[in-house]
Amino acid sequence: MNNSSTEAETVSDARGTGEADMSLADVRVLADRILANVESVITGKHDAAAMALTVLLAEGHLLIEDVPGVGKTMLAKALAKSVHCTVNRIQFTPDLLPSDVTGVSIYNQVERRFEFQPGAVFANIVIGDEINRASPKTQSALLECMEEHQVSVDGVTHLLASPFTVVATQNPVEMEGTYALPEAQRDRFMARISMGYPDAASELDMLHSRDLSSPLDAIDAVATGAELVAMMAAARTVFVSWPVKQYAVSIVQATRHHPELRLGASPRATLHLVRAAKARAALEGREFVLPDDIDALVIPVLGHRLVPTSRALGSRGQGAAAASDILERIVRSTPVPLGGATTGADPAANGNGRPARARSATGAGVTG
Amino acid sequence: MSATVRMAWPVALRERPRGAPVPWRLSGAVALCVLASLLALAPVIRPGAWMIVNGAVVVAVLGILAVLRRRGVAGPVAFAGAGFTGGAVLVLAYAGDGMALGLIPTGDTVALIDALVTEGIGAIRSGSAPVDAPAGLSLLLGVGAVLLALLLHAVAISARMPALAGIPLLIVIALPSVLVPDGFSVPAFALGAGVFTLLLRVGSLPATAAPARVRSGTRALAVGAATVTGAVLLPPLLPPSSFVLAGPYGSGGVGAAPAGTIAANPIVALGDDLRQPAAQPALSYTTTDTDPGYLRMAVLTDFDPSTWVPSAFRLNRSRTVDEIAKPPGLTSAIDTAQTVTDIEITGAYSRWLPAPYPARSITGLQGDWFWEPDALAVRATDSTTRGQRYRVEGIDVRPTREDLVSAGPVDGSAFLPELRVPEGQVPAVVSDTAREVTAGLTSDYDRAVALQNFLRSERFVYSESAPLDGGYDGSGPEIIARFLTERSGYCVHFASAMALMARAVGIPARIGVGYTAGDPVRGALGRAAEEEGASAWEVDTRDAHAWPELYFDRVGWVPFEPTPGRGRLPAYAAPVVTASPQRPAEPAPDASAPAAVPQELAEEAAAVPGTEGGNAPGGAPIGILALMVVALVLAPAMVRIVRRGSRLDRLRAGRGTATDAWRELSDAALDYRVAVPATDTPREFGDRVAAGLGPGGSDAVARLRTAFERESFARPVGDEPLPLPAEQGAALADACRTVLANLDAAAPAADRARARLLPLSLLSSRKRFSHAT
Repeated sequence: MNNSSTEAETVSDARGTGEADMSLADVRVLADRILANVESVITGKHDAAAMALTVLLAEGHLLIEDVPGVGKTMLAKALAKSVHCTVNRIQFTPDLLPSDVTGVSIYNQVERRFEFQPGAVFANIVIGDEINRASPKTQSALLECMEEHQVSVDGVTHLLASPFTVVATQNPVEMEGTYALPEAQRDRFMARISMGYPDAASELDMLHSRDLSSPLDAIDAVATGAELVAMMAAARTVFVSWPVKQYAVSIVQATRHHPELRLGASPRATLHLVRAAKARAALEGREFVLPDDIDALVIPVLGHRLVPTSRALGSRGQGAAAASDILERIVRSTPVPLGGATTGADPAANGNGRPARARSATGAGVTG
Repeated sequence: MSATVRMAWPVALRERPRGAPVPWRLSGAVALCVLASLLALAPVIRPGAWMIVNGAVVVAVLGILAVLRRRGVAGPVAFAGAGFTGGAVLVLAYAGDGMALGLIPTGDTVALIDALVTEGIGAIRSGSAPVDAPAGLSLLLGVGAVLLALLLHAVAISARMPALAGIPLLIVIALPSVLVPDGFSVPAFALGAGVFTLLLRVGSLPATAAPARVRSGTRALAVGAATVTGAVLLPPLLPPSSFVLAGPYGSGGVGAAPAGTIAANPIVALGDDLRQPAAQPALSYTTTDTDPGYLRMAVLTDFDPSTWVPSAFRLNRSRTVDEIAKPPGLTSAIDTAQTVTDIEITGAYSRWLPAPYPARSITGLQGDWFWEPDALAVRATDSTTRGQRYRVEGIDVRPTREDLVSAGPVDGSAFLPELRVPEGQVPAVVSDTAREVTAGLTSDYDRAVALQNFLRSERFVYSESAPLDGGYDGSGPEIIARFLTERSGYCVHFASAMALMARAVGIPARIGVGYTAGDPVRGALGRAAEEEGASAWEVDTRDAHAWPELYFDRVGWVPFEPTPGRGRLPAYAAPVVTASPQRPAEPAPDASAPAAVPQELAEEAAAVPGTEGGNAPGGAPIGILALMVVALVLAPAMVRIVRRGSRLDRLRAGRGTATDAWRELSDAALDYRVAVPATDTPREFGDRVAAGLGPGGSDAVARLRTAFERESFARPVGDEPLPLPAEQGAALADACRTVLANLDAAAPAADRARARLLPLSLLSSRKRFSHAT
């Protein structure tokens, strides 16, 4: 573990305690408290923080993509520290080995047997810094853990902690000597966000607050791991009505037929979209998902999975911007099914064919 | 946004990208339009197989066109292909006999088509509406239908201007009402308006909602309403006799009035009939009367300054024609005979029924016919004489000269209308001449004969064209005075002059309009009639006639014949003084006279209905029409109010759902031209509506939205969305009212009026809501 540093704040395993006992109103209160805590470290980044918390509640993994120095790692750390759970940080480098991530069996000469030394991935929140700097082999080791929630070493399977969330960061600008994540692996992340530069006031504020010490030192956990698990459980109970499901499917389908996209979103993307929407509703204390939740999550959840055609990339240069643009247009032109929360009938009535035709309605300011 | 909106008009289909497949429903709407216009032709061309065959061809052509366009075939090629296929199918259907192996066109085919086309044109020229459609005419109609289908497709779909498609459609659908009297049919227009509205609706329905839809929707609605209103209003306003089918029939008899205005003045059209370059058959009859007299249609008693007009027809539904009253004034002292006359109308179309006077019963008529007690004139309320065959049982009144000479004085108070000579309107020359001619005569009969003989004398010349050329055509007092100095005219002038002069000397007088007895039929038909003790007669348009009827005590109304060389001089009216009746050399009717309708005639015709007075049946259609128009204009507003009321009532009664309230909100927004895109989430739409409203309105929108979101997206309690309890429903209904009031207050005056009168929401799709009510 030469390149990883562990900030071990080990807590009792939160698994299996107090699930589903939490009401959505409590979820909201707790979420507000966590967000306030995080925002005391990173000022002016409410949306990014809320999205990170949404992904955490939805039991997904988050990819933060932005230029260096805007607080990617700080956000991940603040979030991890606000929740009383274990946090590991892996700084990815080209020479990082898969075993550094997953762990390795070492021969214990005293007891004369192999012992498993857990890798950095054994924590509730794993921060993977500059994930694109690691070799594909190492990357895929991490991604496998993300998907399987377990590690197999020397024929022994070790379960990962629960909750388990990977917050990976990636620098999109300085690309030399990096291994960009292939599409298949980007798909494992529930959402991608970018931090963006702080505004002048926040930056000035930052100069003041960071003057003496790291603001991270000033915050404490405001929720226990058990509470986090309960929040996740509560989020799972949020109701998704048939029209909203239809709406999500319509949007995802539209990405698959869009002429400016080389690769559309996967069925896993649909799952992630709805799960994230449930978490978002839970964060607001709402017991059902609105189409607006889907709208708000389409770009973070689908954006990093799409591959725009070279023509669509055109002048924009950046895939992320092009994908956001296309997604915005798709959202604007996809009809929202209304009413009939209960009707299970006719699932294809509204979702079919519409998106393909909807493409054309790209007039500016359609939805204002 | 406004730039987008402006571009969207008149291209209502802008939302459909170029090259995108034409939706089937658009092609279907166009096909329905063409089929409706074929149906609308029914009053002109008798329905039959041609409708089915041509309708099928139209559907096939549009189907082929749609398939070709969907396959990506270029527009002109697709049109040519569909048109060619249509033509081929038509030829196969109508001229299949001329083809080798039933499929390959040969020289015979060309000859056959040529013959068919000639036949078709002939059928149009010579037929009388409704004409039967022989193969030739069917072929022509088929070609027309295919061309109409291609035109509508080109305008409504290719050019994306469905509103413009209304013009050719209106022309075809309005055709019958301008071509034939009675051609106006409410169902045909309703059907036409319906399919056109459907075309507009389908044609302007964007694939996805965009704000442009709001405006194009308004226009579409406005164009539709204007078209329908125009279609209803236009036909009655057109000049009646100038557009009538198959020219010769045109003036068609006496009073070819357009539908809706029952009473056109019969006398006005008479001159036109007489001036026809070629006589056309009007009617034929067989009668047991050995010496048949006039076939009278209308009786003119009153006159306005320019012309004689029929007295108001006092409709009484009990006066059906199977039993007609005894002729007024006739006593048993007069010699009479029973007559039976079988009449078949072949061209004289009118609401007035030609029949010998006096008739006692008429049988065999189609439609409702009633008689009028004063003149015993017979007319229809709901049909015309077209195609009628009927039997008239009547009386042949044969007064002798002595009967008439000994007739006592007439009680003038009983005949005020028939004696009226309005002061100041009738130039002195009329009464002066009358007194001069009748000076020294003692009995009314002698005076009448003197007046008749005066007009029949050599001093007067019969001419159908002179009054027209001299600018004194007509029958009013001024014109009669002019006629008495010019001394040249035709039956209208002679009859008017005699009636007016008879009144001037105290004899009740009026004018009969109809036909003379016509010519006896020769040949087999005539002989067949003779064998049965009857005689067969043919009457054509040149036999149209007007004559004076004078009243004598004990005898009743007696016709006289002042027109030289026309009609038949009754025995009782033959001059006794001169040994041989003086007939001036009959001037040949000026056959080359132009048959053009003089402007004043058309104006008179248009003016006549108005003179009839409110009680006359002719006055009613105008009122009904006005009511219909008002109802039509207000109908959308009414429907909207009722719809809103029922939704809100349902809510207040505890039977409504939040979806009802939300639907009302989105309808109201649409009415006030707030876009309602299908791509909006309820939240986005709520914000859009609330954007222009005050805090009260925004709160109400928020209440509605919360309730609707909960109902639509939250975990349902039962299987169906439960109705809201009454108090919650009432709260939502109040919120709706609040939003409505706020929207109304925020809108400009023009939008406010439009929202009430032409609520766009009536056109909006209901499909978005899956549990519709």
